[in-house]
Amino acid sequence: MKTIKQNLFTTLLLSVLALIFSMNAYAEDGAIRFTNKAFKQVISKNADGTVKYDYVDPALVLPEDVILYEITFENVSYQDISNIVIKNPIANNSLYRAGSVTGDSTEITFSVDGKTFAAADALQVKDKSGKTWQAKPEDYTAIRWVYKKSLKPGEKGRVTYKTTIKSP
Amino acid sequence: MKISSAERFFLLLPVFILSLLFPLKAFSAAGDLINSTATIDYVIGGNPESITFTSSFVEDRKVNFFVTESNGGSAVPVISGMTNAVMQFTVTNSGNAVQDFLLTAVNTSPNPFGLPADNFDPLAGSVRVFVESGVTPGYQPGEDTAVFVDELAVNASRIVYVLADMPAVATDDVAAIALISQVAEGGANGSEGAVINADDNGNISPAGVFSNGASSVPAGTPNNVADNPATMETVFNDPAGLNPEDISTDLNQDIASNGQHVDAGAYQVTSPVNITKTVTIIDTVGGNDPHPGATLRYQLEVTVAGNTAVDNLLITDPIPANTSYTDASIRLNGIAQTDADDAPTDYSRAIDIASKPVVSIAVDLSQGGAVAVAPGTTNTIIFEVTID
Repeated sequence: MKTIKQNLFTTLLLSVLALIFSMNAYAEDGAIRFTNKAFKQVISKNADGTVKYDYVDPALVLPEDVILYEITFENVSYQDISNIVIKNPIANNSLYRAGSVTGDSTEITFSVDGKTFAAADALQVKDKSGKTWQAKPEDYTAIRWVYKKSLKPGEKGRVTYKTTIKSP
Repeated sequence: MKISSAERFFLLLPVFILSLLFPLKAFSAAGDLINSTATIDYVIGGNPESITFTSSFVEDRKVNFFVTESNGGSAVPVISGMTNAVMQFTVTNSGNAVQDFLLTAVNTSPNPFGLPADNFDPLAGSVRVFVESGVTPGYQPGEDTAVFVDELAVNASRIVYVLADMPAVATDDVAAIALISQVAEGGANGSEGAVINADDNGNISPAGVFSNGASSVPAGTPNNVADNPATMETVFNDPAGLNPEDISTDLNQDIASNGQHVDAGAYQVTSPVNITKTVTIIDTVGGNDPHPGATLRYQLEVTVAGNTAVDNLLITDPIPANTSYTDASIRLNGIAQTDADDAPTDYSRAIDIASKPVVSIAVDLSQGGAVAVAPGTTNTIIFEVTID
């Protein structure tokens, strides 16, 4: 009986996991097609000794691995889309990597509380003694991109950043 | 709204219950689902809209840990025939999951501290391993009874004791011992977790017998599990043993990523009683020139090694030729002693003090057989002579 229950539980768990991971490759509401994909950075050396970066499925991820997040948005409607703002909290167990953020035609700001966003050099954190310091990249809890143009039908945008999986 | 302390208690109760249900979560990242939820807000045809998209993957388990010999970087002094000689090691979990660690201590060679060379083994079957319980520091037979490291949190360390019995051996003989630690599942608190003798990346552990003979572990079977973002894979990431003496049970060098780590220590035989003698010259004009009439102050440091008290420990020291004993100059641990054979007033004397010249001094540290001198104690004897 116990085994059957366990099996049932396992099956249930697997189907829930399958649901999570079989989600569509994108989200779409008739106007925007939106994706957010994680890749693991793999560094190797080319035959000529130069460093080669590959970005692969995050199938095997250990502490200190570097993850690239790629967020894309595409206007799939027949109208112009304006006031585009993308927000992405830094994932759990992860630290933002200094200088890794990209985003053409966007104004990029960071947050240490998830609510107020500011340029990197204007962000402040308080330590335990109450002293204020300029926030370090690992203090960031969210990134925001404000798209400075309107997105015409058929146009696409792409922003990226990297994180490091925290050491134990 | 003002919250009373009772209300705060009930508000925090669910958090507390959750923390009881998942007590180790805070220390363990392996198996965590890492979620990144991006949101896009925009305006189309005057209407604000919003879409979110979450990407997820599971943090895999990195098995990483190390054993370090922790006896101050030198051999553990033992005496011939000593039982339960304690050698100390430390096991540290530097992976990202709570693990159990199986343990075994084996004879190895060479001496990790160089010379003298490893030349004997403790009595067959006498080498045992116990884990510090955390109650009283140092090996306590009644407390430190666990034979495996249980539920070692991420970045935590635990002290492990190796005990061994010595055969009859000569001073300076050396027995090198390696402690092998093998990773196991954290499992339930207080029970030995299932051994992990293969990871999901094709790495395996060699066979071994652990837990003082109770756990026989076969060599792992290479196992290549396809990496999957939705499941936790296990990867051996432990370092190789640093030294040539870090021999594994299969008599191979401890290699990296084998789910084991090894370090070695050594027992070195010392005399049960060690005496060091120093002399200070005090001349008649306050210098240190050994001219006639100058005083020589001798200091004897008597230490007892091993873990067994010594009975009938009598120290005698002859008065050197061409010197004369200074009356009433014997001091034991700073306390003036009489020259007469007058126990139990004290147990020191200057032999032939009545007939002169004094031929030697004698100090009975066992006080006529009443006292066993405990290991680890040092007794300091001072006496003076003058140069004739």
